[in-house]
Amino acid sequence: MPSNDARILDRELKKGSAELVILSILEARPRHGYEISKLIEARSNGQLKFHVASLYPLLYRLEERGWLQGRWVEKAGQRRKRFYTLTPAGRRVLASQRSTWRSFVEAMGLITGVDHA
Amino acid sequence: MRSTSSGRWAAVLRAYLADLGLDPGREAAIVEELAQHLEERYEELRAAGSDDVKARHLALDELRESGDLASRMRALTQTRSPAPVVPGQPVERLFGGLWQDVRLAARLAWKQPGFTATVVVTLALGIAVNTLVFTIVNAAVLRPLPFDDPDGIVRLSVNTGNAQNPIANLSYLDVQDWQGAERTFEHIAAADDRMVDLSGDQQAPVRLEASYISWNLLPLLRVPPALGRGFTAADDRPGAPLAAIIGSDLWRTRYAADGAVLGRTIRIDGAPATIVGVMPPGFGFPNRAQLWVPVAARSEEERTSREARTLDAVGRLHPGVTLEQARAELAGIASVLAERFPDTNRNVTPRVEPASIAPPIVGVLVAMIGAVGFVLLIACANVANLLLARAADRARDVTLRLALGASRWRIVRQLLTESLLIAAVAGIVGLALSHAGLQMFLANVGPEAAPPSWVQFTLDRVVFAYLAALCLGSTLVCGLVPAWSASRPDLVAGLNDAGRTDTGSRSRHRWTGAFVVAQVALALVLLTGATLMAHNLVGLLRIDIGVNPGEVLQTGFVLQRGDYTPERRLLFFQRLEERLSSSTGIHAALASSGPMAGALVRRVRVEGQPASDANALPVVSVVDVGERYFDVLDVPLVSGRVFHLEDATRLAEQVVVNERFARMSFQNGPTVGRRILLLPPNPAAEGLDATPWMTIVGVVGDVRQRMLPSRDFDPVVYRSYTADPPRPMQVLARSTAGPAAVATVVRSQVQALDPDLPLFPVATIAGALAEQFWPQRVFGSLFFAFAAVALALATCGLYAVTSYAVSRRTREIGVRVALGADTRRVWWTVTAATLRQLGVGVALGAAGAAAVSAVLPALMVGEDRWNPWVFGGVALVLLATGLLATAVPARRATRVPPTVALQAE
Repeated sequence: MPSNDARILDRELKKGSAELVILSILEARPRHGYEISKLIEARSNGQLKFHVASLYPLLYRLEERGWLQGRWVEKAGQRRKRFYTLTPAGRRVLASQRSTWRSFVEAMGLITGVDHA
Repeated sequence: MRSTSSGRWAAVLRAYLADLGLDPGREAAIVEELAQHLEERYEELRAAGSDDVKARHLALDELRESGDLASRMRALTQTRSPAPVVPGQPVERLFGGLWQDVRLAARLAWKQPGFTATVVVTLALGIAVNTLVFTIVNAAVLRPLPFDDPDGIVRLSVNTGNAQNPIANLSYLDVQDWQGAERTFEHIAAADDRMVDLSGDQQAPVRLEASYISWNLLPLLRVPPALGRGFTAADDRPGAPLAAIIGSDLWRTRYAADGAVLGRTIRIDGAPATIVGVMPPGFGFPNRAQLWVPVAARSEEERTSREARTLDAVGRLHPGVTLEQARAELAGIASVLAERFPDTNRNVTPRVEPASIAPPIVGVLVAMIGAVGFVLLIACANVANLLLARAADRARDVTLRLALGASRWRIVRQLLTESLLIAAVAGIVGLALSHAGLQMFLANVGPEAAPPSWVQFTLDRVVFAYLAALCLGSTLVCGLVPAWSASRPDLVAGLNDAGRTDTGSRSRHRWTGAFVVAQVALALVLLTGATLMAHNLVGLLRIDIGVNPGEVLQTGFVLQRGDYTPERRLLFFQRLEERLSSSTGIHAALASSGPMAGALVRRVRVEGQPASDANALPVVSVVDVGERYFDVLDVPLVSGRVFHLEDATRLAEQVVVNERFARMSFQNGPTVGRRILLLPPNPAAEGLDATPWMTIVGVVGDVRQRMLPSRDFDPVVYRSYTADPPRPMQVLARSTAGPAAVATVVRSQVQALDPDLPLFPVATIAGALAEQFWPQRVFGSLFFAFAAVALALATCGLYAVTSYAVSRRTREIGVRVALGADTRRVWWTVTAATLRQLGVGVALGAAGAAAVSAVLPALMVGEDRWNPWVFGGVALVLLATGLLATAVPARRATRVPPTVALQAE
């Protein structure tokens, strides 16, 4: 049972930065939905979780905006899986959102005196 | 086994997605993907030690977590339209999704009713004035003649070889000779418009527009009478019994559309005639005639003199004949005539032109097209600025769409669709407005300026095509720059939440500035032109004609009938004067023409002055007046005396002149007692000794005779009408009773002398002048209305631009004020750019106004087209209005409380 604070953090993070998170995860290479959800959980030390009900609508929305492209890939002896790739537009948005985020964090650091380094 | 294990999720997932109404393929794909996810999660939970039931519960909990899957999915349009956007790739179909654009545009327009209404009204005004003017031009100039095969009809006239009068109509004998050109012409026919008196049908006599026409005119036009027959060659012979054809209007109003009118006898200028036919409705060739008689019925002199070039001639070419071929055949005939009649036809060559109608006001119409074009441009500049402002507000939206891979064309298309939708609505509103304007225009056109009967100011395909072109054109003019500018925002700035600070893009500002400058300049040009016209009209209405035009009533009649010999005319006038002088309440006099109604023109030679070239002698106006003329008109006697009837035997040798004449001919020397000779206008050709020497017996104050455009008093010579009684005669009257009472008195006295004689309408001289000035009045007020619209639009434009700039900079201004900035400095910051644009616009506009006023028709602006007061005054008015439109919203900016400014976002 996650603590109350953790749940709030999860909600806030998702609200403000879910798109940035997904785009970052996909920056290195194409991944499928389950892999994405596991990576988010792992990289956030379990603080941030995207379950099936929130992950897929988000993926579809980003796909619809043209930032991602989903593609079914078949491998011998395995079930086919849908892999998501970052599009050039998605890459531009990622760069822009990243810099916005950086500025935001810097500003928050300056204001609140929390050193993020 | 794996497929069945993931199969267990499928039913649950389908239930979740059921009410999304996905297409089966898409649903299957989503179910497959989500089922895999759930299965992997289930296996992971099992591997971590959960039992089957618990693992399944935990997995399904995550499916239910954070709300409803279906409602999250519903937000996605992808669930509805499965075709994915392929970013970065060109859109395949140029116009794919156009309907979507239109719907989006309509939704947007609906969501911003204030903005939409402003833009629609602005454009509608511009479109309305353009459609109005074009409807007039189309009807009066562009439309072909409403006859069968109008291209085959040509207008015929002659080059006279005379420098003073280079183009003339044809004489009766010329027409008859030209009718021999049968190789190229099917018909050659002639018409002579004139007013005639219609009587002899047991009704009040009436004066109406008639036309003396060749018998073959109707076959040439291919318009047969609606009732009865047309003229035959036998009708059109000198001495034949007079046949008449009447117009449809006359038939309805005077003869109650009675078929039995055929064969009835009427009197035309006193001569008996038989009605043989009735023309169809709307026919009034050549202008607005309601009565036609054969051309051979004109006077003998007009039939036998080759110099009486009074006939409008038209021809119908054989099919396939060119104007050149027709000219060649007529030239052959003309050269034969030149040899046979060298005195009259030596240098005469034929002119053959397409029979288009060219009213005298074409110059004015062209100027009007220009003026309303300006109004539309101003409206477009306004709308463009509004759209630019909105484009700035939408920068984020556009940036996002570009980032999503929408092509620039797609964005431009969407924005243009919005403009087009607005323009289409504005077009419909504008059409209604222009219809109302047209009714107002027609109600104000003077009756004597009414166009030929077939000119109908109606909307036809040409007008609608023009309207559509206007809408499309204004869409492009208004929409292209905003659309283009909006479609190239700074991507990163846009996504970082652009528009939070003041400015938007630099190029957008350049465009806004250019639109403001253009608007101000165009408004100035238009306003200057309109003011010049108004200035001219006021000058015309205030023109000093030497009598008080509001006090003198005027009517008249023409003793046209052949049996009115000079002796009988004299008797008629004398009896009428006696009768009028014995009528109570009216003080009346006779004159051959009233003030400012033109006059007989003669050259004058003064006895004792060196004989010069007769054609260089000064031109004067000659008026034949009755004894009481100067008294009734209150014209002061300067020296000598006026006419006295006791002098009857010597009246033929006496004249009275006005002061202008005395100054012109004798400078300051004595005038009374000097002798003058009156000569025809072209004395070299017409012989010198036209009148006896006449002695000046008196000098009177100036009264203007000549009509426009001359602004000065003209030299006038008054003769007694007893010397050479004219046929037309005006009755001038002063009365305390109104026009109706005067009309009753004069009519009863005239008809006591000749019951068949109709009277002209009674009006004050001022009223007659106002009618004479109808083009200045009607077109002047139209121009003024256009200019007012232009000024209003330009003012709104300036206001809107400044307001917008202020609202975008509210935060910045608030901070400045909070930090203690001087209010004036802040004011200046906000207005500097607009004021600069205003200045540039006024400068450009003044230059444009000078250029335009140089080409405005003299009819509208008169002589005073460079009046510096007009130019300066209009520029000042525009500057002042512009300053006000800028200052008011800018003042608001300096009063923003800092707390409000800082919350502005």
